[in-house]
Amino acid sequence: MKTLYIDPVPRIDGDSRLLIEIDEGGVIKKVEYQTLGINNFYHALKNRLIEEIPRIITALCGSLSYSHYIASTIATENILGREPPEYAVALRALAVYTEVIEDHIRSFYTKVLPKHMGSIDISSIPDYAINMLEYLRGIKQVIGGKPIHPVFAIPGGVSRSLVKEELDKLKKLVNDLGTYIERYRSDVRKFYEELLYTKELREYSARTYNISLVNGDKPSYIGGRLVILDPNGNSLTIGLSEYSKYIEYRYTPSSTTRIAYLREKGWHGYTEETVVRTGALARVNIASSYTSREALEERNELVETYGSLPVHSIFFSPWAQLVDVLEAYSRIRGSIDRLENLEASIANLEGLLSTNGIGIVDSPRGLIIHNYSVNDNLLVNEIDITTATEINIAALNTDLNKYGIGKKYTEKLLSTLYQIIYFYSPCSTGSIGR
Amino acid sequence: MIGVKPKLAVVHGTSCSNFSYIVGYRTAKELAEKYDIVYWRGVVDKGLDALKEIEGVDIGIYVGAVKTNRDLEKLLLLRRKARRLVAYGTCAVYGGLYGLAALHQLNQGSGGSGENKLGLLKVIKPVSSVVEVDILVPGCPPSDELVEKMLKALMEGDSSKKLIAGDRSLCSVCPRKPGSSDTIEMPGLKRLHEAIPDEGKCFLLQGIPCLGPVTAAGCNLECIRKNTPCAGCMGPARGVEDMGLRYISAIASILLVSKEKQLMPPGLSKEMDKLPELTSILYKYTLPTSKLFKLNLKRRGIE
Repeated sequence: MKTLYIDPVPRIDGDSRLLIEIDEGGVIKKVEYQTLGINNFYHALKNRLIEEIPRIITALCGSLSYSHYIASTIATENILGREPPEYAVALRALAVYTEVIEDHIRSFYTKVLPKHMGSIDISSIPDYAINMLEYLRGIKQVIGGKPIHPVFAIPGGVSRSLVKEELDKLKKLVNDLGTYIERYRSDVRKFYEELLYTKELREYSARTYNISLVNGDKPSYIGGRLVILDPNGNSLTIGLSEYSKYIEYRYTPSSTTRIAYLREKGWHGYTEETVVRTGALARVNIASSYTSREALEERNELVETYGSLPVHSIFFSPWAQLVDVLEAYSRIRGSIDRLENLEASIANLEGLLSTNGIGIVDSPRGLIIHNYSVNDNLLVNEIDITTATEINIAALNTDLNKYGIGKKYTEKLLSTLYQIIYFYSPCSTGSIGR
Repeated sequence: MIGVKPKLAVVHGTSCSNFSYIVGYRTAKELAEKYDIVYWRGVVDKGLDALKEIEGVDIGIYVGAVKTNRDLEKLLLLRRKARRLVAYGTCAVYGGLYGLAALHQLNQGSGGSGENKLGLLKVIKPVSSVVEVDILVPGCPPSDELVEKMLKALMEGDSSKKLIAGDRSLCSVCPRKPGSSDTIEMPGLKRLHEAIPDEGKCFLLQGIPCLGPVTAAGCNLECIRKNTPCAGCMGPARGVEDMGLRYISAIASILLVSKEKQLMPPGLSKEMDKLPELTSILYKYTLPTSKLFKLNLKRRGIE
C-alpha cells in the first residue's frame, strides 16, 4: 500500500492536502481531503466587546467575509434585541446576494472551468470573467467600503445610507455585470454538455441529507426557516434557534476542521445516507419556487436532467450555482429598487437585552451559523461558529471515496477528484477551536 | 536580460484568503503576465516543491500571519529564495486580527515541539521579527492605492521606502478633522453599539473611540467614509511605538477636560469603566507587536 499526499490542493483557500492510498496494482483504496489551517478564532473573540465581534470575525474567511460579517451582526443585534429597519435589511441582503454571485462566478471561472480545460494557471480565465469579478468587487466596495472585511453594518441596522452617487454607481455596476450573465449561463450549459457526456458521470450519485434556509418555498440567503431534507426527500422544517438540537460536531486527528453531523443519525464516518450537504445543491433540492423565472427554468431542467429529486450528484453543483446566480442577480435588482424607494431609516437602537444571540446566513457555500453568549458587561463569554465547510466536509469526503475507491489512480482521475473538491468550494482555514 | 521575466513566488501563511482574491483577479492576471510565477497557490497549480527546487526568485510575497510551524517553515523557505521579500497585509506586518489570540497562544502553543497536533507556534510573529523584510505593506486589506505603490516599487526595484503607508496619522487626512476653532473635548465614552455617529463630526468629539490619532494614513479612509471609526488596521503612525499606550495618553488629554476638576480621578476612572475591555479597541490589529505583549514575553523568558 502506498500513501500519496497532494499538498497543497491547488486553488483552494487556505492550506489543505489530499491523502490517497493506493494498492500495489495502483487502485485507490482511500481518499481524504484534509484541512491544515488553524484560525484559532475562539480565543481571539472570547471576552471581547460584543459590538467589536463583527469587525473581527471578517478575518475568519476573506472569501466569505461579507456573509460572516452579516451573520455576526445579526447574532449581535439579537443579543441587543434590536429589529433593523427595512432599509438596513435591504442593504445587508444586497451584500449577501453579491457574495453569492461572486463566489460562484469565481469558483466556476478560476477553479472548475480551468481544471476542465486542463489549464494549470490563471491565463485561461477569460477577460469577461475577470470583468465580472471586478464589477462584483466594485459592488461590494460601494456597499461595504472594502472588497473584503466590510464596515457598513451596526447592531440594529447599517452605519449610514447610500447617497445618490453611490446608488448610481451601484446601478451601473449591476447593469454592467448583467451584460455577462447570459454568457456565464451559456458557459455553464456548455460545460454540462461536455461533462455529462460520459455515462459514468451521468449516473454518479451519493445519497446525503441536505440543509438550507428557506422563506416559504423560496431559497432564503438570510433569515427564514431551516429545512433538513433526508435522502428520500422528506423534509423537516425547524426554527433558526433550534439548529443546535439537530447538529452535533466531532474532530478528527487528520484535519483541523471540525465535522458537523446530524445528532439523530449519529456519526458513521464518510458514509452515504448519513452525511449532510449545504450550499447551492442543497438549495436546489429544498427550494421549489424562485423570484427569477430564469432561475426556476434552470432548476427544473437540472432536476429533469438528473432524473429525480433530491439531486444526489455533486457533479450538478456548478449548475445549481448557476441557479443561485440567476436568483441572486434578480434579487439584487429588487434590493436596489427598494433602497431607492424606502425611507433611509438606517438603524434602530432600541431593544431588550438577552444573553444569547444567533445569526444564520445561507452563504454561497452553504450555512454559516454564529452563536454568541454574553455576560452583564456585554462581553462575549461563549462563541460557536458553524461554517459551511464544517457541514460539507463529511459529504465531500464521502463523494471523494465513492468516486475514487476501486478506480485506478491516474492524472485524469486526480483531476476529477479536484473537481469534486471545487464543487464544494471548501475553506481550509480550520475551525474556530476552543 | 531582454525577454526574461522576473521570477515571483507568493506564499500564504495563516491568511483569510488567497492573494489573487485579495488584490483582485485583474491585478493577479496582470502579475501573472509580467512575472514568471514560480509558486502561487490559486494562480498556478504547482506544489511547494517548485519553490524548494528553484535556485532563487526575484520577488517573494508573504501573505498572512506567522502562526504555525508550517507558516514559519514556508516563510523561511521564501526568505532563502527571494532576492526581495514583501510582507503583505497587516497580518504579515503586525500579526493582524489573528494576533488577538496571541496571549492564549502563548499559553497553548507548542513552541515547535511537534507534540501539539495543531502545530501552533508559541508566539504569533510579525514577518519582520523572523526574517529581514524589504517591503512592508499594511492594511486589512491594503488599499488599491498601496497595492499600486507596492507593484511600482517592485517593478522599478525601488528600495528607498520600506514601509508603504501614509507618512502622517489618519487624523491628519480625515475629512472630519475638527476645525482650529473647535474645542477638542471627548464628552465621555460611548461603546460602538450605543450611538449612530453624526456623519460630519469627528468620532472623538462624539465620545466614540476612533484610533485615527495613532494610526498611519494610507487606507483610503473606507471606514470613516462608511461612518465607522478607525480601528487601526494600518498599524501605528510614524513616531508611535505602541498604539494602545499612545492612544490612552491621547484620550486622557481630551476626555471630559472641561469637567476634570469636578470629576477628579475617581469620576474619570468611572467613565473609563464604560469600556470593560480595551484590547479589541487598542490592539485589534497589533497585539503581537505591542509593548505590553513583548513585556509579557520577556517576563516568561521568551525571545
